[in-house]
Amino acid sequence: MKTLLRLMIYVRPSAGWVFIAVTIMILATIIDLVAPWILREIFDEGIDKRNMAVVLWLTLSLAGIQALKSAGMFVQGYTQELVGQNVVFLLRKELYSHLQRLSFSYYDRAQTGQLMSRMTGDIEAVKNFVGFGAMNLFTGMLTFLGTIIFMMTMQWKVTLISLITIPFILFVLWRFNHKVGPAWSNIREQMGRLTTTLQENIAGIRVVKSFATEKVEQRKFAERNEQNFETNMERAKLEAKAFPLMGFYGGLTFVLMIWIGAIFVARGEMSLGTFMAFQWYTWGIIWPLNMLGWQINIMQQAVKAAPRVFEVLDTPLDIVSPAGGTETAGMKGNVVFDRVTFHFADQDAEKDQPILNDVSFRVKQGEVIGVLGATGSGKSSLIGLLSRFYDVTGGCVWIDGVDVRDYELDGLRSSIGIVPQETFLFSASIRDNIAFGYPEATQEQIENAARKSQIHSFIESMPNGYDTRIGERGVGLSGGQRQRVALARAILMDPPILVLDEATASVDTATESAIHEALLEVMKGRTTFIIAQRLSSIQHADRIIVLERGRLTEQGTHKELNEGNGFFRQLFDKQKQIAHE
Amino acid sequence: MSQVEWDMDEEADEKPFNMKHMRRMLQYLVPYRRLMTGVVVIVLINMLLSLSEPIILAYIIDIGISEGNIAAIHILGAALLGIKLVSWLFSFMHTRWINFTGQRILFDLRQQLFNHLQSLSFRFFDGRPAGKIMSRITNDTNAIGELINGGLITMVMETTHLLGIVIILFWMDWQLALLSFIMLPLLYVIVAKLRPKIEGSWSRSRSTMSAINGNLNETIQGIRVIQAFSRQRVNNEKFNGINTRNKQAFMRAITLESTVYPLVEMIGMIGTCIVVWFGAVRVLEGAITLGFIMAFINYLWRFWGPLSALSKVYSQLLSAMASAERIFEVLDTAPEVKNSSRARELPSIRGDVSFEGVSFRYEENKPNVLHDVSFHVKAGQRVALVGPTGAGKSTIVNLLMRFYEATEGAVRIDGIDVKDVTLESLRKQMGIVLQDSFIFAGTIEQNMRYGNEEATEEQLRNAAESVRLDRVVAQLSHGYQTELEERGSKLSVGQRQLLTFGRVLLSDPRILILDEATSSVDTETEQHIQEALQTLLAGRTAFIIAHRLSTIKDADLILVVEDGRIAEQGSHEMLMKHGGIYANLVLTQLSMQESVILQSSHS
Repeated sequence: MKTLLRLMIYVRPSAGWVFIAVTIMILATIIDLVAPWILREIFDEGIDKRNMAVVLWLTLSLAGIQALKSAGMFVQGYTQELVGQNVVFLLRKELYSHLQRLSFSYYDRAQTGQLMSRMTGDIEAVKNFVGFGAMNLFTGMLTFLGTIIFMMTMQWKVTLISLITIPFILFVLWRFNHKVGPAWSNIREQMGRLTTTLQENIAGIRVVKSFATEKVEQRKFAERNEQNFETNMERAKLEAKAFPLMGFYGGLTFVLMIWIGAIFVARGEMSLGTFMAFQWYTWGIIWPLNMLGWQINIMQQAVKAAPRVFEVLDTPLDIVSPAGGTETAGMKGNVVFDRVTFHFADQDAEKDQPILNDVSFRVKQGEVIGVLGATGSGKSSLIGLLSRFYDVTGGCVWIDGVDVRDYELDGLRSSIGIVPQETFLFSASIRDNIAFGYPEATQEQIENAARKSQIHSFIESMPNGYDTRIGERGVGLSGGQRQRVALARAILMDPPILVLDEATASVDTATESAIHEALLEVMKGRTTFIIAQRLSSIQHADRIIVLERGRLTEQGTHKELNEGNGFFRQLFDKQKQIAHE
Repeated sequence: MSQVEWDMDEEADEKPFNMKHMRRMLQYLVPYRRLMTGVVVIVLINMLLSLSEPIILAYIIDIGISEGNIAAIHILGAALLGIKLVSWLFSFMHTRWINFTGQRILFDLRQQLFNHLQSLSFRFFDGRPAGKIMSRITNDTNAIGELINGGLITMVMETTHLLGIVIILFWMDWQLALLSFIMLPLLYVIVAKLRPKIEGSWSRSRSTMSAINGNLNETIQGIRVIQAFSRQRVNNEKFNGINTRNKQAFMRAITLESTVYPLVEMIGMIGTCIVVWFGAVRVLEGAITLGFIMAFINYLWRFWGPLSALSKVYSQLLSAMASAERIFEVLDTAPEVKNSSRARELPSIRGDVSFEGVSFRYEENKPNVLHDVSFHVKAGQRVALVGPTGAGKSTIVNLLMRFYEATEGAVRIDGIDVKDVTLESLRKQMGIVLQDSFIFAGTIEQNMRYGNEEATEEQLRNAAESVRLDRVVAQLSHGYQTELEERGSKLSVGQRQLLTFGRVLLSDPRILILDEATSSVDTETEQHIQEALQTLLAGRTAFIIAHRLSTIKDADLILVVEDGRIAEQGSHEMLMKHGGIYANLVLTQLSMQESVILQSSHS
């Protein structure tokens, strides 16, 4: 019930349309109820009394009201779908914008396939109910009640006797409703899993092919597919049990009406016209009850699907822009980490080692900082905290003396240009990919950024230049080219703080050197963090900090660190050794 | 890149009805023909029973009511009751069977699509957004499943119903029957006019749905970049556009469709009116009885009911046809790289690799990416591929793995052309580690065993130790049983890379390819891997694409790739002596390191 009430919120903007649809529906139902009555009059008043004028007029009016009804039905059919579409549109829109705001820690756990299934299949289920289903449910009940009232006024005894099956039908319906709910819940869940398996397979198709494990994948999918089949059959069994039974009870009503009705007519207690009209009315009773089975199906689907959508919508945004957040215009880029400790959300703060442990350092505007450390030492998390992809567990991160949590969030992130470790490019033109963070950029600005990241001449060499479309995973470009497009993307934003997260790792040394030369100019006046494993990548750093297992163990200039005997010195010796061999 | 336009929405407004697709869809019923025959028989009997009802009714009126024969009423009433009981049993049976068939076909169709996807070459996936491919396997198959589940039985039932009624009506009074059908041609003309438009608008609606899927999938995959660049607002606008287009396409289809059903009802009512009028006249003339006219009208209602039910199935059919086309399109995409008819199992290889005059281009009219590449690698040798980004290094290993087919020339392993062996036997003996490490949802152990499920516990631990994965695992509370998420986000990029190393080592390939695999592993770990590789590589041929000098230097053969050609090849010493591109590359790197050293040593 709570789910239905919540769905009503989404229906409210379409209240006008709902009103129109309902009004038309009531009128159409009344017409449906009046038609058999006219038929009765034709028989009793027209044919029986040999009055052809009455027959003519009544027949014409029968055609007339049907014309009205047909026109109304068209409008109603249209409006009910429109309402459904409006609701879906709104739900999708909300879900999409919510998905975009959910924090990294949510996506660390979320499965793409599950999210996709909720956004498409589950929303579709909701739509079916809100538009077509709910309206039919309403029509059905209205027709049912109206029919009984009309019949009662015509011949209440026959009506009452014929209706004795109704409680049985209601009982079947009630039990069906009770059981089909969980069945639908399983189906929706199963569908989500199927989508996840599928999504993973497509995303990892390269790995699948290189290990020649197509057969294994087929088996995996077949298993999910089989489960999907079984859950669906579970529901189908319920339907097979309930629907024919309801059809039988409905048919019983029909039989009783004829049987008892005929006796009444024979005894002269009922006119033949009424008997005829009753047959028509029987459909007004049987049809809604049969429909009800299907409608319950549709409703239960929606009731089980909607919470899956709401669950995503209700996931709190743990990182939001503070009310009245500090503007970031004119940010200089003085960064201070003050005793920062960080745990992932699913870690046990007591037991697990923190990702970052009591890290403190300060960086002045325009400084270039090299961040060194082994795999998994927490280098990338450092940047995650600066951009507020995650919030610190303890301590503070300050930029220009303001806690990052007090900045307006979009502004903060636009002020930090990141070239990530794993490049993700969108299926759009190269131009759009470079202008990703700054869609208003002019062609000149875009080309400038491309030049600085040593990718301009390559782009120019493509047949369509900057308009060349690249695929979802940026296929068609090599790893190094993709990284340079990502670099151009960050440079174009002209941020006061620039972060290169192993950005040149898959670029050959000559290109890396050229990029660094070009970056010298870009880095001027900007605070720059270069996260790297190669010493060559950080040759232009003013200062270096070294992370080991989440702790800051060394910091200083190249020279200072070389004089120590820590991680830097060891790495240095190792690489020197290779160079001089 | 030409395929990026897949599922853009410039589809035609109207579509001719495709009989071929229709026939093909029906083929999926063939495996279930016995069950379906049973269903059809039952449905037919059921229909006949229900058709007899108005006749019984006519007798009730004419014999029972008019003559006051209560006994007759009881007998006929009991007959009606009997009919209802039998039809209860029958509809229970056919509901069960048809549901089974429908779900089973849905299963078959999905599995067939998925299996086919596995056989398709990389080029199919290049540039085709994953979300759009998924949309075909989930949403489009559903539309067909629904048609079979709900539509097919209605079609069989209502068509026989319709035929039966027409026969009965003509048998009762052919003149009256003709009169009541006078409006039918009009209905036919209108539906024939609407059909292509309806079908066209459904197929548009499907493709906009697929665009939503595509956009959504990309958003979720790229969420980190989106948030880093604060793109939410622009993205919302873009999504709004797609969302609106989908709504409009759907509403257009619905608008057209909503005209059909009321029209059928209207035309039906006109028929009834005509019958009532002429019937009344003939009753007054004494030509027919009242019971007769009632039964006739009763049949007539039953005629229009199925017709409107059929009109609903019809629109379901049109929507399913739009989906069928999209599904068949995928099924009809032939895999570019596939086992040739005379392909045989590749025997256990030693690892001799030779490229003989290999050229390659992605598409017919595109320029060559590789020009006349030739080299020979002896079993057990280590080969380093160096050269600027985009020179064609990855393409060379892709051809070796036969992800793509060489346009000219031949790639031979132990003297056997890779085109002549089965893909599975070829790839099973090779291992590749890519730069982007893909992790499957599941435990670390499951991921390790991905290429070799039969590995023993000991082999597993050894492989993990060799790539230093044991250290990473030791830090996790559940060890090898730690559940990893989709993108393996519990592990850092470097740690994920180690896992993919372990995975490939466990699969024990004869030929090992490392495609920039070590670039995100720190130097210390890399050195350790190098050491482990030294021993593990004994007897294995290795291709290594890398930028770090440390990785390249010890290779037996260095191939310098530039602009799709092998510019230089030889050992480190040879090439240094030669003083060409490679020597230059090494010197640049050295000078960069020197400069770091200088910076550190002096103030």
